Amino acid sequence: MRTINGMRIEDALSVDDARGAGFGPRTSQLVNEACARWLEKKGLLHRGHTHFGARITKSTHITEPEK
Amino acid sequence: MKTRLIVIDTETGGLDPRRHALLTIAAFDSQTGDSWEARIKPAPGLEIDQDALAVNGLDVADLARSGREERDAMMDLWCWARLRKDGILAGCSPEFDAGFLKAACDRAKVSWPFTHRTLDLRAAAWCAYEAGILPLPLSKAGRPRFDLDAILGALGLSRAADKHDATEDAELTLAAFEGITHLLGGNK
Repeated sequence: MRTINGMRIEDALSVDDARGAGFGPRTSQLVNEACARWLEKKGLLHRGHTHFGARITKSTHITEPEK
Repeated sequence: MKTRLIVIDTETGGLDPRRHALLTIAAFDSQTGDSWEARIKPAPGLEIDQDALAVNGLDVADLARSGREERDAMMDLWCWARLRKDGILAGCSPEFDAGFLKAACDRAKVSWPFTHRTLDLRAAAWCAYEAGILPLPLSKAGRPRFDLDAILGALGLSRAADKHDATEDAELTLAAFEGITHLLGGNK
């Protein structure tokens, strides 16, 4: 199971999720961005109408289940 | 995180705070997310080693042209830090950065604005490694690595570029502290 900074990818799909897990504001942003980069690298991230480099949002979805 | 950490990182012109120049400083407040950073004009009479520039990739000519005067930067940092004097000074080997900041405070004739309590990310990583929850990579000699890159890698984080950047490294160090805390089940 892939984790970023101790959080499962699917649990860090928004900055608010990371904040809810107890991370501070800067770290939540950083964890979320790291998740986005990893998902994008794996081709699992559909960014929809958000521009390249945007953070994952609730509207973003993953095309395959995490293995 | 229940306690306030003031996470610092510096880039310098070498390893000796009395001989080498302080070039960049970054500090983060873990509770508010506020940051402070400065690029410093190298102080006169101090040295800058090429080996150090190979690590941080800084352009000395650009710092000399557009960096802040060291005294001005230290006075500004003093004001920022005094508002957060309850925070614990933290970093990856923070005694190294504190040594350079203390030397710069002395040159600028400003008092030390931080607490004297420090917290080293390597110690936190050691605890997590020994507890079996942070699988650190091994050195060629077969010993666990406790450098920032190794700790970040074990947490699924990384630098954006190869060169060391004080702001990015301080931000990542703070994230690593929070990540290890999360692994230990103590973020709430």
